[in-house]
Amino acid sequence: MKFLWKSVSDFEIVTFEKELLNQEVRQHVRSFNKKILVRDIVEIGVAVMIIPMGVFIAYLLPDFFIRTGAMLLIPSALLIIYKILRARRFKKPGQHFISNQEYLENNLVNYQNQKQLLGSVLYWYILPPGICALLILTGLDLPAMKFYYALSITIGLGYIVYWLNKVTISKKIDPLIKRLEEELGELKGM
Amino acid sequence: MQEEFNDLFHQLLEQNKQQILRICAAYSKDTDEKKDLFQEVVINIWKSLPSFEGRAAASTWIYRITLNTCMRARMKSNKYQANHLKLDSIHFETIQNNDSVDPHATQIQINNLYRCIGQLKDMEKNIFLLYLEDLPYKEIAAITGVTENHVAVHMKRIKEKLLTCLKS
Repeated sequence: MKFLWKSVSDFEIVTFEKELLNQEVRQHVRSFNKKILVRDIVEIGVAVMIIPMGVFIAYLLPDFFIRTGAMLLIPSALLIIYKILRARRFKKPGQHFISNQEYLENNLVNYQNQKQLLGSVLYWYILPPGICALLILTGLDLPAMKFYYALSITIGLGYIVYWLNKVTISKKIDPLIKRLEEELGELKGM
Repeated sequence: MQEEFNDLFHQLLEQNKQQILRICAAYSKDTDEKKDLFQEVVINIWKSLPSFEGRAAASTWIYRITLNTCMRARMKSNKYQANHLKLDSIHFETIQNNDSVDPHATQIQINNLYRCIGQLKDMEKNIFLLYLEDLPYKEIAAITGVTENHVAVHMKRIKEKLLTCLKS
Protein backbone atom coordinates (compact mmCIF):
# COMPACT_ATOMS: atom_id res chain seq x y z
CA MET A 1 0.00 0.00 0.00
CA LYS A 2 2.86 2.33 0.86
CA PHE A 3 4.44 1.65 -2.50
CA LEU A 4 1.18 2.41 -4.26
CA TRP A 5 0.80 5.62 -2.24
CA LYS A 6 4.27 6.87 -3.13
CA SER A 7 3.69 6.04 -6.80
CA VAL A 8 1.08 8.83 -6.90
CA SER A 9 3.99 11.20 -7.39
CA ASP A 10 4.99 9.33 -10.54
CA PHE A 11 1.93 10.76 -12.23
CA GLU A 12 2.02 14.39 -11.15
CA ILE A 13 4.72 16.82 -10.15
CA VAL A 14 4.69 20.38 -8.82
CA THR A 15 7.07 23.14 -9.80
CA PHE A 16 7.41 26.72 -8.56
CA GLU A 17 8.51 30.00 -10.05
CA LYS A 18 10.35 31.26 -7.00
CA GLU A 19 10.31 35.02 -7.53
CA LEU A 20 6.69 35.09 -8.66
CA LEU A 21 5.69 32.85 -5.76
CA ASN A 22 7.23 35.29 -3.26
CA GLN A 23 5.33 38.17 -4.82
CA GLU A 24 2.03 36.32 -5.01
CA VAL A 25 2.14 34.99 -1.46
CA ARG A 26 3.09 38.39 -0.04
CA GLN A 27 0.31 40.02 -2.04
CA HIS A 28 -2.22 37.44 -0.88
CA VAL A 29 -1.28 37.87 2.80
CA ARG A 30 -1.44 41.67 2.45
CA SER A 31 -4.90 41.61 0.85
CA PHE A 32 -6.10 39.13 3.48
CA ASN A 33 -4.94 41.46 6.30
CA LYS A 34 -6.62 44.37 4.53
CA LYS A 35 -9.93 42.47 4.42
CA ILE A 36 -9.69 41.78 8.16
CA LEU A 37 -9.03 45.48 8.80
CA VAL A 38 -12.03 46.53 6.70
CA ARG A 39 -14.23 44.02 8.53
CA ASP A 40 -13.07 45.42 11.89
CA ILE A 41 -13.75 48.98 10.80
CA VAL A 42 -17.23 48.10 9.52
CA GLU A 43 -18.23 46.06 12.59
CA ILE A 44 -16.85 48.34 15.28
CA GLY A 45 -16.94 51.61 13.33
CA VAL A 46 -20.74 51.69 13.20
CA ALA A 47 -20.99 51.20 16.96
CA VAL A 48 -18.33 53.87 17.55
CA MET A 49 -20.25 56.34 15.38
CA ILE A 50 -23.40 55.83 17.45
CA ILE A 51 -21.71 57.36 20.53
CA PRO A 52 -21.30 60.97 19.27
CA MET A 53 -24.67 60.61 17.53
CA GLY A 54 -26.29 59.83 20.90
CA VAL A 55 -24.58 62.81 22.51
CA PHE A 56 -25.64 65.07 19.63
CA ILE A 57 -29.31 63.99 19.76
CA ALA A 58 -29.41 64.35 23.56
CA TYR A 59 -27.94 67.85 23.26
CA LEU A 60 -30.24 68.90 20.41
CA LEU A 61 -33.62 67.57 21.58
CA PRO A 62 -34.64 68.40 25.14
CA ASP A 63 -37.52 65.93 25.45
CA PHE A 64 -37.03 63.57 28.42
CA PHE A 65 -37.68 60.34 26.47
CA ILE A 66 -35.52 61.35 23.53
CA ARG A 67 -32.71 62.50 25.80
CA THR A 68 -32.86 59.28 27.87
CA GLY A 69 -33.00 57.10 24.74
CA ALA A 70 -30.09 58.97 23.13
CA MET A 71 -27.97 58.80 26.28
CA LEU A 72 -28.66 55.08 26.61
CA LEU A 73 -27.35 54.62 23.07
CA ILE A 74 -23.86 55.24 24.45
CA PRO A 75 -23.68 52.24 26.84
CA SER A 76 -25.48 50.15 24.17
CA ALA A 77 -22.78 50.96 21.63
CA LEU A 78 -20.05 50.34 24.20
CA LEU A 79 -21.57 46.95 25.01
CA ILE A 80 -21.55 45.98 21.31
CA ILE A 81 -17.90 47.06 20.96
CA TYR A 82 -16.94 45.15 24.12
CA LYS A 83 -18.73 41.99 22.96
CA ILE A 84 -17.11 42.04 19.50
CA LEU A 85 -13.62 42.73 20.86
CA ARG A 86 -13.98 40.07 23.54
CA ALA A 87 -15.12 37.49 20.99
CA ARG A 88 -12.16 38.29 18.80
CA ARG A 89 -9.73 37.77 21.67
CA PHE A 90 -10.72 34.10 21.81
CA LYS A 91 -9.95 33.48 18.18
CA LYS A 92 -6.57 31.99 17.45
CA PRO A 93 -5.99 32.60 13.79
CA GLY A 94 -2.96 31.44 11.93
CA GLN A 95 -1.88 28.73 14.33
CA HIS A 96 -1.65 25.95 11.81
CA PHE A 97 1.56 24.46 13.15
CA ILE A 98 0.11 23.00 16.35
CA SER A 99 -0.81 19.31 16.62
CA ASN A 100 -3.99 18.12 14.89
CA GLN A 101 -5.72 17.41 18.19
CA GLU A 102 -4.91 20.84 19.62
CA TYR A 103 -6.06 22.37 16.35
CA LEU A 104 -9.41 20.61 16.57
CA GLU A 105 -9.77 21.63 20.22
CA ASN A 106 -9.00 25.27 19.39
CA ASN A 107 -11.54 25.22 16.58
CA LEU A 108 -14.13 23.70 18.88
CA VAL A 109 -13.61 26.43 21.50
CA ASN A 110 -13.73 29.03 18.76
CA TYR A 111 -17.04 27.78 17.37
CA GLN A 112 -18.52 27.38 20.85
CA ASN A 113 -17.65 31.03 21.54
CA GLN A 114 -19.18 32.08 18.24
CA LYS A 115 -22.32 30.16 19.10
CA GLN A 116 -22.50 31.77 22.52
CA LEU A 117 -22.02 35.22 21.01
CA LEU A 118 -24.61 34.80 18.26
CA GLY A 119 -27.01 33.00 20.57
CA SER A 120 -27.07 35.92 22.99
CA VAL A 121 -27.41 38.55 20.24
CA LEU A 122 -30.86 39.50 21.55
CA TYR A 123 -29.40 40.79 24.80
CA TRP A 124 -26.41 42.76 23.56
CA TYR A 125 -27.19 43.69 19.95
CA ILE A 126 -30.98 43.88 19.59
CA LEU A 127 -32.65 44.80 22.89
CA PRO A 128 -30.41 47.65 24.15
CA PRO A 129 -30.54 49.77 20.95
CA GLY A 130 -34.16 48.61 20.46
CA ILE A 131 -35.15 50.08 23.83
CA CYS A 132 -33.30 53.30 22.96
CA ALA A 133 -35.20 53.47 19.66
CA LEU A 134 -38.50 52.92 21.47
CA LEU A 135 -37.74 55.77 23.91
CA ILE A 136 -36.74 58.10 21.09
CA LEU A 137 -39.88 57.21 19.11
CA THR A 138 -42.02 57.88 22.19
CA GLY A 139 -40.40 61.27 22.66
CA LEU A 140 -40.88 62.25 19.03
CA ASP A 141 -44.62 62.54 19.68
CA LEU A 142 -45.59 61.07 16.32
CA PRO A 143 -49.20 60.48 15.23
CA ALA A 144 -50.40 57.03 16.33
CA MET A 145 -50.20 55.47 12.83
CA LYS A 146 -46.69 56.72 12.19
CA PHE A 147 -45.59 55.64 15.65
CA TYR A 148 -46.84 52.08 15.14
CA TYR A 149 -45.38 52.02 11.66
CA ALA A 150 -41.93 53.04 12.94
CA LEU A 151 -42.25 50.64 15.85
CA SER A 152 -43.10 47.75 13.51
CA ILE A 153 -40.05 48.49 11.39
CA THR A 154 -37.81 48.57 14.49
CA ILE A 155 -39.21 45.28 15.80
CA GLY A 156 -39.09 43.73 12.30
CA LEU A 157 -35.43 44.65 11.86
CA GLY A 158 -34.60 43.25 15.28
CA TYR A 159 -36.41 40.03 14.45
CA ILE A 160 -34.56 39.65 11.14
CA VAL A 161 -31.19 40.06 12.91
CA TYR A 162 -32.28 37.55 15.58
CA TRP A 163 -33.53 35.05 12.99
CA LEU A 164 -30.40 35.32 10.81
CA ASN A 165 -28.22 34.59 13.81
CA LYS A 166 -30.35 31.62 14.83
CA VAL A 167 -30.12 30.22 11.28
CA THR A 168 -26.34 30.70 11.26
CA ILE A 169 -26.09 28.76 14.50
CA SER A 170 -28.33 25.87 13.50
CA LYS A 171 -27.20 25.51 9.87
CA LYS A 172 -23.53 26.37 10.08
CA ILE A 173 -22.08 26.40 13.56
CA ASP A 174 -23.92 23.51 15.23
CA PRO A 175 -22.99 20.94 12.55
CA LEU A 176 -19.34 21.98 12.85
CA ILE A 177 -19.39 21.72 16.64
CA LYS A 178 -21.02 18.31 16.38
CA ARG A 179 -18.43 17.10 13.93
CA LEU A 180 -15.52 18.40 15.99
CA GLU A 181 -16.95 16.86 19.15
CA GLU A 182 -17.32 13.52 17.37
CA GLU A 183 -13.73 13.62 16.14
CA LEU A 184 -12.35 14.56 19.54
CA GLY A 185 -14.68 12.18 21.38
CA GLU A 186 -13.47 9.31 19.26
CA LEU A 187 -9.86 10.16 20.00
CA LYS A 188 -10.39 10.47 23.73
CA GLY A 189 -12.73 7.51 24.01
CA MET A 190 -10.03 5.06 23.06
CA MET B 1 17.02 38.57 6.71
CA GLN B 2 14.25 38.57 4.09
CA GLU B 3 16.48 36.53 1.79
CA GLU B 4 17.03 33.90 4.51
CA PHE B 5 13.28 33.79 5.07
CA ASN B 6 12.64 33.28 1.35
CA ASP B 7 15.36 30.63 1.09
CA LEU B 8 13.95 28.66 4.01
CA PHE B 9 10.45 28.92 2.54
CA HIS B 10 11.56 27.56 -0.83
CA GLN B 11 13.72 24.89 0.75
CA LEU B 12 10.83 23.60 2.85
CA LEU B 13 8.51 23.62 -0.15
CA GLU B 14 10.95 21.86 -2.45
CA GLN B 15 11.66 19.15 0.11
CA ASN B 16 8.03 18.48 0.92
CA LYS B 17 5.96 19.44 -2.13
CA GLN B 18 5.13 15.91 -3.28
CA GLN B 19 4.11 14.81 0.23
CA ILE B 20 1.90 17.89 0.54
CA LEU B 21 0.31 17.20 -2.84
CA ARG B 22 -0.44 13.56 -1.98
CA ILE B 23 -2.14 14.58 1.27
CA CYS B 24 -4.12 17.36 -0.42
CA ALA B 25 -5.32 14.84 -2.98
CA ALA B 26 -6.55 12.55 -0.22
CA TYR B 27 -8.63 15.42 1.17
CA SER B 28 -10.05 16.57 -2.19
CA LYS B 29 -13.00 15.57 -4.28
CA ASP B 30 -11.44 16.67 -7.56
CA THR B 31 -8.33 18.13 -9.15
CA ASP B 32 -9.39 21.76 -8.71
CA GLU B 33 -9.98 21.27 -5.01
CA LYS B 34 -6.61 19.57 -4.70
CA LYS B 35 -4.87 22.54 -6.34
CA ASP B 36 -6.76 25.02 -4.14
CA LEU B 37 -5.79 23.07 -1.05
CA PHE B 38 -2.15 22.85 -2.08
CA GLN B 39 -2.03 26.61 -2.61
CA GLU B 40 -3.69 27.23 0.73
CA VAL B 41 -1.06 25.05 2.41
CA VAL B 42 1.68 27.07 0.70
CA ILE B 43 0.13 30.31 2.00
CA ASN B 44 -0.15 28.89 5.52
CA ILE B 45 3.46 27.73 5.48
CA TRP B 46 4.46 31.28 4.57
CA LYS B 47 2.27 32.76 7.32
CA SER B 48 3.53 30.30 9.93
CA LEU B 49 7.21 30.56 8.97
CA PRO B 50 8.05 33.32 11.50
CA SER B 51 7.00 30.84 14.21
CA PHE B 52 9.23 28.07 12.90
CA GLU B 53 11.98 27.73 15.45
CA GLY B 54 13.53 24.56 14.17
CA ARG B 55 12.84 22.79 17.47
CA ALA B 56 10.45 20.38 15.82
CA ALA B 57 11.66 18.54 12.74
CA ALA B 58 10.78 20.48 9.60
CA SER B 59 8.76 17.56 8.29
CA THR B 60 6.68 17.38 11.49
CA TRP B 61 5.96 21.09 11.18
CA ILE B 62 5.03 20.85 7.51
CA TYR B 63 2.77 17.83 8.04
CA ARG B 64 0.97 19.61 10.86
CA ILE B 65 0.29 22.66 8.70
CA THR B 66 -0.78 20.51 5.75
CA LEU B 67 -3.17 18.33 7.72
CA ASN B 68 -4.63 21.21 9.72
CA THR B 69 -5.19 23.23 6.56
CA CYS B 70 -6.89 20.27 4.90
CA MET B 71 -9.15 19.64 7.89
CA ARG B 72 -10.00 23.33 8.08
CA ALA B 73 -10.83 23.49 4.38
CA ARG B 74 -13.23 20.58 4.77
CA MET B 75 -14.96 22.44 7.58
CA LYS B 76 -15.11 25.53 5.41
CA SER B 77 -16.59 23.69 2.46
CA ASN B 78 -19.42 22.62 4.76
CA LYS B 79 -19.81 26.01 6.35
CA TYR B 80 -18.62 28.79 4.12
CA GLN B 81 -17.23 28.65 0.64
CA ALA B 82 -13.59 27.72 0.69
CA ASN B 83 -11.09 30.32 -0.47
CA HIS B 84 -10.41 29.95 -4.14
CA LEU B 85 -6.80 30.81 -4.62
CA LYS B 86 -5.03 31.32 -7.86
CA LEU B 87 -1.26 31.38 -7.64
CA ASP B 88 0.19 31.45 -11.15
CA SER B 89 3.64 30.64 -9.80
CA ILE B 90 2.67 27.06 -8.95
CA HIS B 91 2.47 24.57 -11.81
CA PHE B 92 0.90 21.15 -11.61
CA GLU B 93 2.17 18.86 -14.30
CA THR B 94 0.71 15.49 -15.18
CA ILE B 95 3.39 13.13 -16.41
CA GLN B 96 3.33 9.97 -18.45
CA ASN B 97 4.75 7.20 -16.29
CA ASN B 98 6.60 4.64 -18.40
CA ASP B 99 8.28 2.91 -15.46
CA SER B 100 5.09 1.41 -14.19
CA VAL B 101 4.21 -2.01 -15.61
CA ASP B 102 0.62 -0.99 -16.24
CA PRO B 103 0.05 2.72 -15.58
CA HIS B 104 -3.68 2.41 -16.17
CA ALA B 105 -4.07 -0.37 -13.60
CA THR B 106 -1.89 1.54 -11.13
CA GLN B 107 -4.06 4.62 -11.58
CA ILE B 108 -7.19 2.58 -10.88
CA GLN B 109 -5.59 1.15 -7.73
CA ILE B 110 -4.60 4.64 -6.60
CA ASN B 111 -8.13 5.97 -7.15
CA ASN B 112 -9.48 3.04 -5.21
CA LEU B 113 -7.08 3.75 -2.35
CA TYR B 114 -8.13 7.43 -2.33
CA ARG B 115 -11.80 6.42 -2.32
CA CYS B 116 -11.29 4.22 0.74
CA ILE B 117 -9.16 6.82 2.54
CA GLY B 118 -11.92 9.33 1.83
CA GLN B 119 -14.33 7.27 3.91
CA LEU B 120 -12.23 7.58 7.06
CA LYS B 121 -12.83 10.21 9.72
CA ASP B 122 -10.40 13.14 9.62
CA MET B 123 -8.13 12.05 12.46
CA GLU B 124 -8.08 8.44 11.26
CA LYS B 125 -7.25 9.75 7.84
CA ASN B 126 -4.40 11.85 9.22
CA ILE B 127 -2.90 8.92 11.09
CA PHE B 128 -3.14 6.65 8.09
CA LEU B 129 -1.76 9.22 5.64
CA LEU B 130 1.26 9.72 7.87
CA TYR B 131 1.70 5.96 8.09
CA LEU B 132 1.66 5.81 4.29
CA GLU B 133 4.29 8.54 4.28
CA ASP B 134 6.45 6.07 6.19
CA LEU B 135 6.65 8.04 9.41
CA PRO B 136 7.36 6.20 12.68
CA TYR B 137 4.57 6.06 15.29
CA LYS B 138 6.51 8.51 17.45
CA GLU B 139 6.39 11.20 14.76
CA ILE B 140 2.78 10.41 13.88
CA ALA B 141 1.96 10.95 17.56
CA ALA B 142 3.84 14.28 17.58
CA ILE B 143 1.95 15.50 14.51
CA THR B 144 -1.52 14.36 15.46
CA GLY B 145 -1.25 15.02 19.20
CA VAL B 146 -2.32 11.54 20.32
CA THR B 147 -0.08 9.10 22.18
CA GLU B 148 1.96 6.43 20.41
CA ASN B 149 -0.27 3.77 21.97
CA HIS B 150 -3.34 5.42 20.54
CA VAL B 151 -1.69 5.57 17.14
CA ALA B 152 -1.02 1.84 17.29
CA VAL B 153 -4.59 1.02 18.31
CA HIS B 154 -5.99 3.36 15.68
CA MET B 155 -3.80 1.84 12.99
CA LYS B 156 -5.18 -1.61 13.68
CA ARG B 157 -8.76 -0.38 13.29
CA ILE B 158 -8.00 1.73 10.24
CA LYS B 159 -6.28 -1.13 8.44
CA GLU B 160 -9.27 -3.36 9.04
CA LYS B 161 -11.62 -0.69 7.69
CA LEU B 162 -9.47 -0.12 4.64
CA LEU B 163 -9.05 -3.76 3.82
CA THR B 164 -12.81 -4.24 3.91
CA CYS B 165 -13.27 -1.20 1.69
CA LEU B 166 -10.57 -2.22 -0.79
CA LYS B 167 -12.02 -5.70 -1.13
CA SER B 168 -15.51 -4.38 -1.83
